Amino acid sequence: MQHIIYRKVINLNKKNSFRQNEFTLEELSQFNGTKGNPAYVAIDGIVYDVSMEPSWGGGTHFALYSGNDLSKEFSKCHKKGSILSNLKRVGTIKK
Amino acid sequence: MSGFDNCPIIHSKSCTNIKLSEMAAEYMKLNRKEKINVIWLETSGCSGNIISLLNGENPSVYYLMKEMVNLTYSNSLMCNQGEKAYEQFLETLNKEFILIVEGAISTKANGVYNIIANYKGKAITGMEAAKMAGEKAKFVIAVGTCASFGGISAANPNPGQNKSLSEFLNKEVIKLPGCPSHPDWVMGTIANIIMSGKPELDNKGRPVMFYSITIHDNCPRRSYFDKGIFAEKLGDKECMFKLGCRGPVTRTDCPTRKWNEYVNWPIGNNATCIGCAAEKFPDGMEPFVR
Repeated sequence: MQHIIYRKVINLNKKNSFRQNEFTLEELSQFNGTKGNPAYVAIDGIVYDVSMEPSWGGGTHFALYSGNDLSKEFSKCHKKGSILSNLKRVGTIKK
Repeated sequence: MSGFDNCPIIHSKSCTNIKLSEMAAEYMKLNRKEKINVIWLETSGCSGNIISLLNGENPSVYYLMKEMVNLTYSNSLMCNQGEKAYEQFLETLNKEFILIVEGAISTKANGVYNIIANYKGKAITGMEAAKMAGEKAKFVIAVGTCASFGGISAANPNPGQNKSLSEFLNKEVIKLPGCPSHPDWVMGTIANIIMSGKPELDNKGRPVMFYSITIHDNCPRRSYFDKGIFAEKLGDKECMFKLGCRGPVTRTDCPTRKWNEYVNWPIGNNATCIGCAAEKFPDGMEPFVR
């Protein structure tokens, strides 16, 4: 029983650990998928890693570039839901 | 010369279309069926698809016209000109025919930005011709990304208010996207129609026999992708995903069928796939190279 609780705590920490990585918009801009950098995008305050998403070749998607806050563009095209829940979270935007 | 060139399976894949076409011709002879009429209507586009058709090798466009179809109207290939040419279009409407449209349908100002004929003092718009023929055709095929999904003709800001054929016509359209469409995709679809009617289509109206799997799933550089080894610049031999390759989101058989008489294709030429057969090409596939 104890090891089950322990594993649940570990998993919860893993899920929440992305909150510990905070990015300013300037820091985020470096993660634009070029020069070996991963491709990150911010949507509604959460930073996602889209480096290996099939529709994000070259860190770009529908003429949008990673390394940016794309909350507005996302809400114009997609409803919240399965798309965001399937992306890897890597941090949050510093307020 | 790569290993692919010596592989008999790859070689046979480039020949399957000639087998399909020969079967269609044989089927017509055995069943004493006459060749079906075909109208090839060019609307708001670049004529790239009819030029691509002329590159066909297995079969050639000569075989298509001699053994498979009666091409009664094609503004690029027919001998008649002017009003006589348009009269051939009108005569075909009273018979059984397949309508092939390449180019999007320009709808601004009642289609006046795309005039395909002048007849008895009246300018005939592409919109009007597509509607007339679309309503009567036994099968309607949209060849090229512009006719299939809007494509370059409908790219932002779309001053001509161009639409895909299926948006315009209230009828099922078989879509053969590509910029241009491969001649094998066109002639293979026609061969299928001759023998057994409409081919199996996916949820976007594309024949599954040509459009079912992504370029990424068949790419000779896939093992580099799987190992996370990426090209840093054009000319490198590794996976070009980080350079903006749209292979993962484009469903065609370019890696095996290839182009220009099965010689080469973009990734074989060290260029990224730009997703020319994808639904959102070109705006949704930008930028083509990072």
